[in-house]
Order: sequence, then structure tokens, then C-alpha cells
Amino acid sequence: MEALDRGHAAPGVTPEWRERLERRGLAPLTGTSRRYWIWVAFLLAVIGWALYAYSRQLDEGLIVTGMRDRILWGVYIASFVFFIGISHAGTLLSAILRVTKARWQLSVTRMAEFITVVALLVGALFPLIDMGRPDRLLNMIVYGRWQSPLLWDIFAISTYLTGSTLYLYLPLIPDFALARDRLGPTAARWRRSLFTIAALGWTGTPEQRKALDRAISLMMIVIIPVAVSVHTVVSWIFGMTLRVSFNSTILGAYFVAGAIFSGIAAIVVLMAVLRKLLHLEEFITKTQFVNLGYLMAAFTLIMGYGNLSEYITHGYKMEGGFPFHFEQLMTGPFSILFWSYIVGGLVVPGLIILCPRTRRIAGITTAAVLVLVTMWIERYLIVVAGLRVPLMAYEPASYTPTWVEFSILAGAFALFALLITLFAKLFPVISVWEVADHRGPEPGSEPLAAPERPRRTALAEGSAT
Amino acid sequence: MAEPASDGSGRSADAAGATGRRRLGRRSLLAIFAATAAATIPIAGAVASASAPSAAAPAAKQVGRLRRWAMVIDLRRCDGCQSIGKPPQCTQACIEGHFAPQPMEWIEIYEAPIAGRATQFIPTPCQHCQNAPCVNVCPVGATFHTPEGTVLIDQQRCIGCRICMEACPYDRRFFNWGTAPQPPETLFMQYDAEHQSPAIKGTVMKCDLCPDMARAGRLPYCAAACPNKAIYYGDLEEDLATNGAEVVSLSRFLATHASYRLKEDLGTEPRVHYIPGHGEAVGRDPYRKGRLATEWPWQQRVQGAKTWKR
Amino acid sequence: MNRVIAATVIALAMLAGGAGIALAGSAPTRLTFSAPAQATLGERVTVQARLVDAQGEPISGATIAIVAPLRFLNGGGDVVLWEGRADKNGNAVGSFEARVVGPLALRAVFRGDQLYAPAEALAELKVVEGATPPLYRERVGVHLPGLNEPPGFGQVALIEPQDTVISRALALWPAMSGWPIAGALIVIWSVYASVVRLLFRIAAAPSGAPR
Repeated sequence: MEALDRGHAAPGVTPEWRERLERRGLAPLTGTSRRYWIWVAFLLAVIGWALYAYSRQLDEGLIVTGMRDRILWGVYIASFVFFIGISHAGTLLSAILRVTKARWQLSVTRMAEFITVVALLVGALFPLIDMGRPDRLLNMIVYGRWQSPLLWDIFAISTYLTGSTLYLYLPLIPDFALARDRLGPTAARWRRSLFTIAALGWTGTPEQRKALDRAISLMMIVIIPVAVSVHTVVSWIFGMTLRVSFNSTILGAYFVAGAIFSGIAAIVVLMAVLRKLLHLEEFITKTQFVNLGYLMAAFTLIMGYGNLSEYITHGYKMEGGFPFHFEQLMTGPFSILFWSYIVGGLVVPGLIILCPRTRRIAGITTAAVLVLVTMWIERYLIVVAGLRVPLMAYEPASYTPTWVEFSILAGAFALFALLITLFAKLFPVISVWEVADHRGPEPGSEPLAAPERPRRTALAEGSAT
Repeated sequence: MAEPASDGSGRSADAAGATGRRRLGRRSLLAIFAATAAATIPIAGAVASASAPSAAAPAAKQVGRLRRWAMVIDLRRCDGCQSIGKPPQCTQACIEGHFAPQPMEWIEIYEAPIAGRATQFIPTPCQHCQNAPCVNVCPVGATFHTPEGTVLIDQQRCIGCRICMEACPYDRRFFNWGTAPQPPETLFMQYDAEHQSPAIKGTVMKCDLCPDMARAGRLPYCAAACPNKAIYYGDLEEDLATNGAEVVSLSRFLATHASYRLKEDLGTEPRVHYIPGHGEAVGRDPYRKGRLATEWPWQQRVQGAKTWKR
Repeated sequence: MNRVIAATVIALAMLAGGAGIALAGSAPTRLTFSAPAQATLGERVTVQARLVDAQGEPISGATIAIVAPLRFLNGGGDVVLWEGRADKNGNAVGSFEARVVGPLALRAVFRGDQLYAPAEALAELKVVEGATPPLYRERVGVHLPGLNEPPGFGQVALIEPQDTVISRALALWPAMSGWPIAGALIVIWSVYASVVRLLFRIAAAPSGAPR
């Protein structure tokens, strides 16, 4: 039954290819397997443990963490910056590349937007977890001060979250219509209602297409300055203070570059995972990995440039607290972390991608994992090493995160994974109509020869993945 | 409202505040300032008769001319209380007077290196900056300027985000990471921004420059306790300062003694001034390093009290 | 024996002479002091003191201090308001700001040295209030005339729960930092609003004929 106007197709689109795309794209929405439930149960267990850790913190106060008067922020704020940074994945891929009319990324824009929305949700939790008096959260609204960088954070993150949600939803409309029509008849009632309502009565008329095009164009343009301002504003909770490594004018640009960098790495990792799990090899090929890899390599250079600027200009003069800061970073207590970041996060991924022999899906994914891990380390170094520089004549303090902080961090990652999993179950992970209309088959891709292994269903709910 | 010129009452009786209000919450505190009932300069009271200073006659208030508190610390006279063999008395008096929870030292004696491989002691209270970075960054306005120039914290509004502590360049703000050990007296006190007891878990505290003491005509705990009379408390409006033993013209005192402020290049405009020295006026050998560690006397009174390292 | 007596006499004479010289070291001096009778609060007061010896000859280079007894915080004492040296005519011109209201018992003081005896002179200055704003003004921040005041009490946007949205919005006017932020947010959220309007248009569009 063809109630849906399929729209114009890109060159090379055959009905069989399209059929495969639609089937693969919609497959996770049809049902769940036992593997899925085990995974969800594991994630819920980790989140449950994190909730227990947080309850200990609510009970005894922040004394259960390793933070103290001198190093007053730690894992929580570093993770806050990290997750908000990852959220720039969506902006880069969906907006910047779309504005430049690139087409190769259309198969992964949906995943990128997933990451954006979920990373924002998870990231926004961390300042709440870090608060000494979370019961007074509403004071931020009732007594909020315009002049405070934290309030700029609230404005920026809520604006970005709303924009990203809109921007996630808009291209989902035709795919929901596709799901409504293809899966609706056989799906459970709640799924059918979800697809129908979310599809907003989409039938692909020219009028609707025009409205959707216009909406997506508006969003893709406005989301770019919003995203840039978000991480700039996050950097200003450090940049607006008088501490040695924070009092830098390029902090905003440096943070935005780091955000996009870690965002790209997050997309690559998620792409690799979902591609294997959901058998999307035909639609997400080496092209996407290599192009994202090149972007990542470009950003290793940009990040390297930012680091070089900072260290050379201050290192030449060695004023104020910088001798101490350089010593603690490069040869002192943080040296292992620092050099892991420089070598493992900038040099090695760059080499992996630029060297043709390693520039393959596995290599690029490895590079992305390295980047993600070292970018968290870099945020940790910014926060903790920056705060450790003594302000007055006292011995520098030390900071060791406790089990509470690590548990909550693990819980946050688990929540991130859980929400991505949920999204992948409710929304198609690949933007079917955009790939079909604007991209077409990937050059050099082949349909999967072997049929999928039939899986046992856990629920009496249609065919399983 | 008459200024209690000869109020000799101690701190705990002052829990109601010099103005007699029961509960000086944030709003009431500001109402007091708005009515300029506190800390105004009496017209006749400041001038002594030619004979011995008598008890000041109750003076009429001049509305609109508020005090602007400042402090001058004469480092020529500070030796970290080495000569009396005790922990620094300013810190001890402040802790005992305010029931400052362990390990907070609202006025802290830093031992800083000086040229010639010697050291100097620098008593450092909150600097009550005129361009306070802590006030600028607070998202809820829990830390604020008073018209007298002090920077106070309303712990009932503070959300515990600690960005003010990140912003302070002088290491002068302290966080209640847990429920700190405090003596039982604090349980009977009403919290207000100038009497920060009992300490509220999850909020920030610091030195408040004891303006309530000054309004009652007394020196702050630190200035009164200093055995060498190194701490002067002054009013920039009336241009006078005293350390308990002598009264000086504040601006002249600063001008004629090469005074400076801490980290002046940061633009915070602190109102605590320092007169350079290393304790030479009280005979300190600049190479004699070290001072005794600060004590919190009620740690022994609270069993199983949980404190933390800064 | 004669030599001893002679030595003693000479010593005594020298002693007397020396004592005579020493006594002559406390040469009497006289200090004249003139000050205005009245000054307004905050005004810079100029006073003049002149130190002369017993013959009326001016004493140059003498250090003269202007002091007044003042009270502060339940304590009091002599406060040095100005200190300086007299010129070759024995004149010392001092100035200080009148910061304390009320009668001020000024004293010009010459503390005395090896040659001259100490001297004092009194003058009474009455400081009256003027219509002056507070004398100490904190100068922090950038003042854009007519647009804002530098930060200080009264300009800090203190928000109390009983304030309404309107009064809070109006209170933001002096704190200019709010308006660019508000402007940017308004622009962005109106773009969101138009996108939502487009969504409604999609939902309301009649289903076209399927192809």
C-alpha cells in the first residue's frame, strides 16, 4: 500500500536498493530481542548503582567526593564539559555539512542528532549532581542573575536542547510516515499510534515538502551559532575567572574546537557500533568513516594548534603561576595524563588517519575511541590542574576522585547508552528518506549476501532484529 | 534606632543583631541598610572632648553617610605569633568568636617567601573587594555587596555551585562539604548573613569583616586579639582607622607607609591594605620560619566529628 | 695640688658652660597657628603655622604636625592630620580633608629638637555638614554617562521573591548585561516558533493524492 509519496529519488536508486534501505532502517522498530533486554538490564544496573552513590552524596554531602576547598571541581564538571562537548556532533554533521551541501553524511545525521540530544540531557545533569544544595535548584530561576556565567550556561544549554530536539524531529517526520505505513499494520497498537502521531499526517505532498524543507533550512542555520555559543559559554565558567590557566582569551574557541573534535569521535564510534549491530554495512561504508576520519585529523591539527598557542606564548614568558602549571602538567603529577592526551589523543589518531594502511574502518574507529578517552582526560586536566595552581603561599592540594564520583560517571555513560538504545528502538537510526532522495547507493557498496540469522522473539511483536 | 554606643554585650547575646531584630535574614538585612539605621556615622560622637574621652553622648544619625569599612594590616608587626609561642591569635579569635567550622580559617596566616630566602607572615582575611569576582559570578546573588562595602553570603540562598570559590583569587572562601563539627551553642543561634551559625551544609562561608562588631563600637575579633596590634580597622568615609591602641588618619597612614594590596594587578580593588614588613617592629628574625598550627577548640567536644582537609 | 684645683675649676667651668649651652638648647619658641573658623564636610582645609624663636626670628626647616583628638570605635586619641617642614621663613602650610563633622580642636605641634623647645598652638575648626553625597565613592567598572552606574550597592540587581516580573525586568535596565542576552534569546526562540508553525502547517496540510 503506497499512501506515501516517495519523492524524487537520487540517481542510482533502484527499487530493490530502496527496499533494502527501508527494511534495514526500520528493522529495530519492529521488535526486541533477548540480547537487547540483557543489554538494557545491564545498563539499568549500572544506573541503579550510580543512583545509590548519589543517595550517599545527598545524605552526607559533597564530602563523599574527593573535592575540597582548593580543588573544588573535579570529575563532575569535567564530565559536564565533556558531554556538552560531544553534543556538538549533531551540529557539525547535520548542520554544518548540510549547509555546505555535502551528501555523504546523510546516512549518519540521525545518529549524530541522537548523540546531540542525549549528550545534552546527560551533560546537563552534571551541574545538578555537583551542586551542594540541589534542593535550591529553583533559586537559579527565581533569583537568577544575568551577569553569571552559570546562568548563561542554563540559557545556552536549554536553547540548544530545544533546537536540537526540533532538529532531530524534523527529518524524522517522513521516516515516521514510512514506519506508519510499512510497519503500522503489523505493529502493536502503541507503536502504531506513536508512528501516526509523530508523522503529523505526512503524505509527501509538495506543500508539506516545502514546509519541511523550509523548517530544516531555518534550523540548520540557526543551530550553528547556538551550538558555538553553547560551548563558548561553557568555557566561560572558567574563562571569566582570574586563575592562571583559565584566564585566557582563546578559551572559547579552544573549547568549541575540542567539542567538535570529541563530537566527531563520538559519531564514529556510534556509527561503527550501530552499523555492525543493525547490519547497515551497505549504507554506512568506508566513505563515511574516511570522511569523518579526515575531519577528525583536521581537528587534531586544530587542537594541536590551540595547545601550541597556549603553551608557547605562556612558556616564552613564564609569568605568574605558569612555571608551576607547566611543571605539574608536563613533568609532575599530571604528566602521564597530559602526555596520553597529547600523544594518544592528537598524534596517534592523526597518524592513523593520515597513513593509508591504517585508514580503514577498524583503524578509524580505534582512533575515535582514543580521541574520546583522551578528550575526557583533557577536560579533567583543564579543571583539576587549573584549580591546583596555588593562589596564595600554601602547599598545592591534591585531588583523588572517590567511588561516588566514578560510580556516577559510570552511571552517566550507562544513561547515555541507554537513551541511545531507546532512541534506536523508537526512531530509525538512518534517515531513510534523505538517503534515498539525496544520496543514493554508496559507491562500492554491496548488498549483504547472506540473509540475516532468524532470531527468536522475546515478545509476540512482529519480526525481531 | 539608637546606635548602642556602649554596647558591651558579647557575641552570643548579639545573635539578635545590634538592631534588636530577632532574625536577620537576607531581606531584613537589606531593610536595615535601606533605613541606614546601622553603621552611620554619629555627628558628635566621633569627636572627643579635650579631656579624657568620656562615654560618647548618644548622637543623632546623619542619614545617608554610611561607613565604608576597610582594614590595614601592618606586616612590620606581624610575626605569626612566634614570639608568644601560640597559634596565630587573630585566627584563633575569629574561629572561636564565629564558631568557624574546622578546617576553615577565615583569616589565614600565609607564610610567603621574600627576597633573601626569608619569609614574611601575611594575615589574609577576605579582601572584601570592591570589584569582587565572587559577587560577579554568583548565579543566584547569594553573595552580595552591602552598602558598607563588606561582601556577605546569604547561606539560605546559596546553591553550592562553588563558582564563587573558583573565582576568588585569594583562596578566602570555604565550603561546607559535610556537616562540620560546631559547638552546641550554635544550635541555639539564628542564622543570618553576619552571624554565620549554624553553618549550613552545602553552602559557602567566609570572613564577614565583623561589621556588626564595628557598629557596636568594637574591633573585630582578629584586630582585638592581635598581641602586636598589627591589624587596623578603618572607615574610608570618615578616614580614620584604629588598632585598639591608636587612631590614625587612614589615608595618611596608607600614603606614608608604602601600603599595597594583594594581587593589585587583578583589578579586584580589595579594601584590605598591607604595610610591607616581616615582623621587624616586634623583633622577628626573618629567617625564623614556621608558625604553630591553627586549633579548633571544639573538635574535642564533638565526638566522632567529621572534618576534612582543605 | 694646685694643678688638681685648676683642673677641677676648668672642668666645672666647662660643665657650666656646657650646661649653659645645653640650657640655651631649649631655646624658647613660639608657634602661631591660623586656621579657618569653619569648613564644610569634605572640603580641603588649609592651615598655616609659623614657628619663631624668642626674638621673633623664624625657624626654618622645623617639622610641624597638625593633630586633633578624634574618636573611632569607642577608642580615641590624637590623630596626625598633616605633618611637614616649615620653609626658610618658618611657615608651614598644611592641608587635610575635613571628614569628621563637629568641632575639631586642632593643634599645631612642634615636637622640639636639640636646639629648640617644643611648642603648641590651638585653633578651633567647626566642620558642618554640607549637602554632599558620601565622600568615599568606589570607582569600579566603566561608567557610560546616562546609561549605567558603576556597580555598587543599589546597582546590584537584588531580586526579592515579592518582586513581579515587570519590576524585575525594569530593574535590569541599569545592569546592561541582561539586554544583549535577552535579545539573542528572543531572536533564536522566535526562529524556533516559526519552525513550530511550519510543523503545524505540515500537520494541517490535506493529504495529497498518492502517486
